[in-house]
Amino acid sequence: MVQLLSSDNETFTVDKQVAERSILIKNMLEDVGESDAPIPLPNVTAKILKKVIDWCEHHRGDPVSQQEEINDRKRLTEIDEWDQKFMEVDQETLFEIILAANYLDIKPLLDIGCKTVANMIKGKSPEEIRRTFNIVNDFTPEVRQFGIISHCYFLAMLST
Amino acid sequence: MAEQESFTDKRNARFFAKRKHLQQQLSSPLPSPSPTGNISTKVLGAFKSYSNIGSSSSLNSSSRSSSSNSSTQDHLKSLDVSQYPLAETLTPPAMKALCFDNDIAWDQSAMMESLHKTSLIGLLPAPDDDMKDENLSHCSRKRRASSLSLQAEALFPTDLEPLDINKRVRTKADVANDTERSNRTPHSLSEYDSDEEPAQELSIATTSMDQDSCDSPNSAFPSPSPSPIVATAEPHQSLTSYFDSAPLGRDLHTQNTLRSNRNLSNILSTFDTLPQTTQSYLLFQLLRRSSTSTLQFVNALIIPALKRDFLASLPFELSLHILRYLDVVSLCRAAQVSKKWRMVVDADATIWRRNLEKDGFSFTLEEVKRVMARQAMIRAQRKQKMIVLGDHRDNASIATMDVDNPEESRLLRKAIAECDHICVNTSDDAALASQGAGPTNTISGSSSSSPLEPSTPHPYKEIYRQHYTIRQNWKRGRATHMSFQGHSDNVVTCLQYDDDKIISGSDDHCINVYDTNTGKLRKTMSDHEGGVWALQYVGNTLVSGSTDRTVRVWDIERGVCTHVFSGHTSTVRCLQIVMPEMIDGRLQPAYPVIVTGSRDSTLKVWKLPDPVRDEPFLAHNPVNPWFMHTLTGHTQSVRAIAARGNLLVSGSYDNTMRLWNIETGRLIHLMEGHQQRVYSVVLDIDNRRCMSGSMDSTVRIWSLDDGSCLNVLEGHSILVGLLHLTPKHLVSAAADSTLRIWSTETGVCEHVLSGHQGAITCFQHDGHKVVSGSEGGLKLWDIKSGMLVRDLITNVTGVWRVAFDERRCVAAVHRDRVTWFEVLDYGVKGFEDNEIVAA
Repeated sequence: MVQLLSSDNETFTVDKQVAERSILIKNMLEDVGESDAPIPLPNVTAKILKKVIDWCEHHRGDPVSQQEEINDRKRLTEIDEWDQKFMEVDQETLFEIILAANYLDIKPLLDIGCKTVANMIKGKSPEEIRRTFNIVNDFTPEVRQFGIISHCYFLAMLST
Repeated sequence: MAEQESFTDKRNARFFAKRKHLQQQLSSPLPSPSPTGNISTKVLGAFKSYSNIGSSSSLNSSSRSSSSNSSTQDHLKSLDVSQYPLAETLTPPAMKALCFDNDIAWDQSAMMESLHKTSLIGLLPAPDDDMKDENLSHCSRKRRASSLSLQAEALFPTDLEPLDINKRVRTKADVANDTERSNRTPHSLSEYDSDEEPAQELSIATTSMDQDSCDSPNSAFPSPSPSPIVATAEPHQSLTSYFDSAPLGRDLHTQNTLRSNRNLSNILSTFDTLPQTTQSYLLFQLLRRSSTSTLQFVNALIIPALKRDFLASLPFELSLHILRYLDVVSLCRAAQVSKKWRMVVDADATIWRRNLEKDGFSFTLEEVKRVMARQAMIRAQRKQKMIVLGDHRDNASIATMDVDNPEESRLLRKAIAECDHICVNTSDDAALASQGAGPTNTISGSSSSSPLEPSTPHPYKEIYRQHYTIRQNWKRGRATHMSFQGHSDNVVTCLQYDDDKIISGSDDHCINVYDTNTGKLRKTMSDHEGGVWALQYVGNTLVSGSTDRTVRVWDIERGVCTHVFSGHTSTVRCLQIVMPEMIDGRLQPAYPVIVTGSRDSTLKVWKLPDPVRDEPFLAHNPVNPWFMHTLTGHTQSVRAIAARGNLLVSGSYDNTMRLWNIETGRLIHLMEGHQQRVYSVVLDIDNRRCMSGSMDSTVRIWSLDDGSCLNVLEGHSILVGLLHLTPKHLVSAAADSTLRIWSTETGVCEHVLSGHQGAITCFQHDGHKVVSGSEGGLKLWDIKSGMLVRDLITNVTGVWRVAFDERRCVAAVHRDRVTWFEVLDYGVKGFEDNEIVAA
């Protein structure tokens, strides 16, 4: 068992196998050796850490990820059902999960998080994307117009 | 009083700063007023109107309140608020415990004391002394309505301070606050989101509150607005209409209102001073007293508050990680979302390089250099214009995106480092830029000459755009058309071209060189004494074969023949230049060679001379230093050859195919099976196969390993004269006026292209299209669907030869008893802005 200490000083006890889904923790354990002292994770709050541990628990048996081929985008953006459900969180939480996955070096979780965001962008118009993420269109009118001129030919053709 | 004024001023300023911003946020449709709508109206109105009066509460009570509340938190943290449905009138049994009832050890007196001290007690639904003994949850909706909400109504319509949902920047202090808070109540609110009950909406709300309230009090929730007058003068449009439609008892409760206003402002300032947990708890209590429509309203406010601009706030590398999963259309749309998004989308060379690769666009280093130079030029133009026009507002933002922004220049440096193999360094860029800026600026002078400042520090997106545009031009037939005459009325037997020149061989003994862009005849090379039946060029070296039995090597630039190889005893019918390739760890063949096939039934292999550096070989010297081997074995005319590396396959009128080793000149395999003459061969070296088309109307696939016939493709009814191979498709063209598309994997005939009126005389295909010529005209087909896309050229008696590359299609046709060259250029439409470069 390994003890993990969140940034807000909450301690989680998890199986070594589960914790080692995180390459960061795995390396730490290898460097430090067996120890009862909890591993401090100053960049992850308890709330997010709990989510991440849930994910690691569910994926404990997964084979260590191979380097994925990224030619087939369709297949790549597919997310398995459990993970989809797992990612059904508000954007703030999703944001934190992505950061945590990156910090903890859990490649598959990072991939799923990024795919989830990509799927939120896909197939939307710029305005729909802005609404989805609550973004203000900060292009000046001139640039906006240029943008339309320059992109319309390209886009018109892309969309057919 | 001074304190109060400055407080109000501050609020004013903040209000106006946000209003513009928020109008956009709130202009999305709000829940339409329902029969119960006025309840939500009341609650919100209460928030609003009470806050308008200004604060009379003393802020310094906060210290007392928080200290006195600390004891309540211990209890609060054991409450799992999220278990209870909110929008409900009935209090679940367990909820009673929550509501200070009896079982739970809620330190009621401590709470009440704290409320007193912070004058919160003044706003409790029933502001009388009984309150102390009364359970909060027992306050009926009616009572609240009379004492609080109704009074609030009286002020309507007043402006509701728009919510600053965009304010998501968390300061260090916030984080510290969070941590501190979490330390106090480790289990407090973080468990809310594990529930899927209706309470989830609230749990989100409370969580958000929890996180946001440590910003300024108005960060995510309604907060006091400046003053009723100002607010009414500029009511928020959508909110106002929303509230206007609710029945308002404006005149009835003025007195009550005034009193309650004071109370409510007290509530709000007090609320601000409460510890997070208590705030959450109070909000929870308010929400659980709210109607469904209020909750919907709150929900609609909270969802956007929890949104995140991922690409703008994630570290750059992670943003790119997300973009990796997007297709080109989505990428282009994402680039239009905001400046930051555009920068992120455009910044990464890898993404666009991968797109180029994925969509099968190949590009050259020259192209990369050209595009980068152009981008640098446009950037320079932009800067120049900014100075000239003195327009700092619009251009400043562009300039910021360009180099003034430290992050962009970091990206730029990074991207340039990524492309360092391209050998374009910044000083080159600057030199080109300064060259380009001056004249173009004076000539064009208008912004329309450069539609959009290229924000990409790398050229790959632009390269992608160009290639994509050309491909789409093909699909839509957007080409410019140029025609010119040549070779009078003679047959054009061979045709090869590039962006610079078109070279044609004809049975009029001549080889002509034309300018691809203008059609102007540059050179006529007429040394052959018979018709030219085969030619190929590489770089400046042209090789031709003729009925005069010779093979000639030419210097294209100078238009002179430098080498004459004799030896064949009949017409040289086919030839190929074989350039060395790295195969199995060594160059094969070791040097460039020419392979020729002749009607004398032999093949010959020659070293390829360099017409510039090598001594000319014109004399009738019996010892030819360039000659290597004669390949003998065929018993009839050699009609077709294909070679790569050291392997050469030949097809003959003796019905056989032979596989040879070029370097040794030895026969590897004899391939027998065709019943009649072989007219065409292709080599599929990656799959160790070759294919042949024959007069017996079949196409055969042969193994290079043992020379066995692997497959016979049947379907054509007569002579299969032409074959062409790409990785996925083998296309055959026959005298039966059809073409057939075969899958290279399965050998299945995927499509039959029928529509021509006569034998197919020439064709070419790539991964997307087939262009075929026959008497009557030239047709374009879609290779995936097998459908005719359009007729490219009509009203001709025949098409002698056709060739296309990514940008152009060049055909030699016979019309009105004259030979014409037709050039279709698909690289013009949509590239109008590139004229700057050409100029």
